[in-house]
Amino acid sequence: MLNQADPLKVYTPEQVAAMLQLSKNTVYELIGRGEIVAKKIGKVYRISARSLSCIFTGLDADLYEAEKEDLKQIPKVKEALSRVRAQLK
Amino acid sequence: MNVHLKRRIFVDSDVVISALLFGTGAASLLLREKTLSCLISSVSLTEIIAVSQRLAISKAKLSQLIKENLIQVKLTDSVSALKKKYEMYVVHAEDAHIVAGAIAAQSQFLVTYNLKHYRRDNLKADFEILVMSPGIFLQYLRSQQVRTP
Repeated sequence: MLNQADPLKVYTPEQVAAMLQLSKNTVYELIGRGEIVAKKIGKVYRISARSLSCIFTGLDADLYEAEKEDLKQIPKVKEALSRVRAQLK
Repeated sequence: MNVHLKRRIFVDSDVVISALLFGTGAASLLLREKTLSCLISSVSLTEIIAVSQRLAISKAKLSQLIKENLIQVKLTDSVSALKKKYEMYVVHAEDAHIVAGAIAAQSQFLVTYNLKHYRRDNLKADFEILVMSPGIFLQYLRSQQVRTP
């Protein structure tokens, strides 16, 4: 399964097909349409873990990054909010 | 777009505070989305002001966001009355006023980063309100867009 802890890890289209329960041809079609972002090295494709993380989260890459930006500081926001909320009358 | 045709969403205070802290985050993208009417309640506003002070967010920035991107609905019940009335929709009674706001706003969506604080099945069953994070809601909006050839 996807190793989100290592953004440098890359997968072959065959490995991605197995992960997503798709055929190899479908993965190549998705690469062709840009729905899976892959890097072509010579005659083969490699797909980064970061590119796939968006598929597993259900978010487009830009939204995934935007939400991640907020989530970095959300514990601080939640703590301040819960203190204030507890005092509301 | 006419304000009456915009989709109405109720935003939890954590989303508003996040938007104030990070101009490029999902919360900020959500509140600046022109096809939406983003609502907060009078009680939410009180807590947003208090949290902004705690986190040293400038009053000017807060005022601008409220003026340009948020619509306020008035809650007339006391917070303690709201806690009793809506306790079955939240894990912690302190969050009950958010549910009350979403209902008063006649919103189909409650957008929050506190997904685990709400009893989503109850909200959907009784009020047809869906609870989502900002990113998921924006993704939902994209999925609803009609593609033109």
